[in-house]
Amino acid sequence: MFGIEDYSKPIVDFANFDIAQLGNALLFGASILLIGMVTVFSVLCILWLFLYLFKLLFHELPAKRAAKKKVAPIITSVDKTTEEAYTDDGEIVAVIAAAIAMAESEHSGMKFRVVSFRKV
Amino acid sequence: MLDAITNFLGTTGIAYMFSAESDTQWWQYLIMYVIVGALFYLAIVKKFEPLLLMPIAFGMLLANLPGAELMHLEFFFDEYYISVEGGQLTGTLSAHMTNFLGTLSSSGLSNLYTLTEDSLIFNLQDLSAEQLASFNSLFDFYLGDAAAISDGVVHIRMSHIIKEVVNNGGLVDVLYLGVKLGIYPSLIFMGVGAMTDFSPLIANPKSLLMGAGSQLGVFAAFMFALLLGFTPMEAGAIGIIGGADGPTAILVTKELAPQLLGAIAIAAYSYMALIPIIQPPFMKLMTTEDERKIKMTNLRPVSKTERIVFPIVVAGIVCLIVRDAAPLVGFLMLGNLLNVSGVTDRLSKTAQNELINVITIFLGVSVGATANAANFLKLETLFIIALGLLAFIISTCGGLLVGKIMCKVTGGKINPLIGSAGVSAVPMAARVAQDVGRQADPSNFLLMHAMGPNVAGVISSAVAAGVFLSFFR
Repeated sequence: MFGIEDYSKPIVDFANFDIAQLGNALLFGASILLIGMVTVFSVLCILWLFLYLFKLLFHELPAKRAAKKKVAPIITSVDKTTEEAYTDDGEIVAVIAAAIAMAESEHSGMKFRVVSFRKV
Repeated sequence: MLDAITNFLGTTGIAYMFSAESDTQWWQYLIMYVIVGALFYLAIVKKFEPLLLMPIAFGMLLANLPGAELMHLEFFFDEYYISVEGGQLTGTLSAHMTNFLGTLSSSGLSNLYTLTEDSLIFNLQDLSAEQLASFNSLFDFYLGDAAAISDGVVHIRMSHIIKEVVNNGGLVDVLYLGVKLGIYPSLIFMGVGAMTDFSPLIANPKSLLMGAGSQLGVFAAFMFALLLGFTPMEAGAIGIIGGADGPTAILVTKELAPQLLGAIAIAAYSYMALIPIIQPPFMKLMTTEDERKIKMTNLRPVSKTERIVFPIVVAGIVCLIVRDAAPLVGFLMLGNLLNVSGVTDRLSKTAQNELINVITIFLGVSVGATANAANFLKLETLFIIALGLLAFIISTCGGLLVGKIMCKVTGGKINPLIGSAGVSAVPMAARVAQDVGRQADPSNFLLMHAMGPNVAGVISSAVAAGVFLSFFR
């Protein structure tokens, strides 16, 4: 490839240097740079495509299904969903803490302090 | 009595340092001790990557104790077993090789090999399958246990190297087998995978492009190293410093240029520790004040199913396309799956605590021990350190450039600063993006957004490593 097959020898030999060697090294280096960057971008673009599919399959599709379920007048199932959604204490704490942090940053005069958390 | 004392003094390391027996000059030892002292200072006082710099520095100290012979780097090079100097075969297997060549010559087959002043090449292209089989059986008879021929060049078998290490090696030689066999980098990647949360990347897959852009420094440094007279294999090992990923740099270097391992590992880990100093000036140079103030919208929630499927899909895709990246990406994703699956907590905790800590000690000490005075005190080392810095800077700028493009394309929804986190160095590069963003606007929270390109950088640098390995191994 590119006329350089023995990778264990330097392309630029400073003991017997001539400008053609430098040009050869530059061409070879630029070729590997191009091939390498194209390969990296290609692999990651394929991953991007798969992650986009993830979004459709695991995020948007379940959201649509959930929306459809909400329309159906089955009160018991709605209650169950609500109950499940609010049993994660860690998530509630995170939401409250984030809200306080936002409020603190936007209105520096206001001060909040979390005293306790209670399950509702 | 006096004789006994004199004999004892003659066996000390200090006597060895000044003796003609030592192939290293006394002042070279002293320079190495100064370098070791500087690394200890950075690790202990400045707290720059102490978990790695400390074992590396101690490994360097052990390797430079006169006469201790804890590490024999030569055991791991083909040249130790067979080499050619002035047209004569040397090395521990030279007698076997001489007998083999003698048999070839006496059979009228001397045209099958070319012995020059500094090389021995076998010319096997024109042989028929039958002739080649005869040649191989004869080679196996003389050298088959120890060596094999690939592309006309003799390579020593790993099993023979292990035998030599076990029979004649020191403690660090045995530990270094884990580097030589590629065990440590992969196991460290498993621990990194178990500790890493890929949710920001799954929620914002666009950030993959910034991770890819950050590999620009890897390939640019490769090109500059070629221009400085390094071989393509050495240039590949030097370039990967720009990936800001220690295990990846070690894996590539031990394959392509093991003689540079000490210098490259030290450069890679030192620059990773110096990211908060290296990156900010270039981040400010490449972005405007308004761009740095951009606030990004919250990331969508990521379900458990997505987090479980992600490592399986990534391992499959990356390893199918760039199979040389499999040892790194495969184990990175295995570690992540152990964590996110929720059913292997014990394994996950082991991978991210005890196992990674043990391996870090082994890896650090054995890599540091490759930096003995004879191998480290060269002009090449200075070039490697300079090229490593250049690679880091270009990688940072590459990520920022992709970030700026994405900022324009999305109409200002992406803060280009997060592009700088595309160099791996998890999570320090993301923290730097957060800090620089908050300097422009104290209410700006970029950390989670920067984690996307940051973990994308880990995958990208493993792919870049795979590219070099597939080209030059």
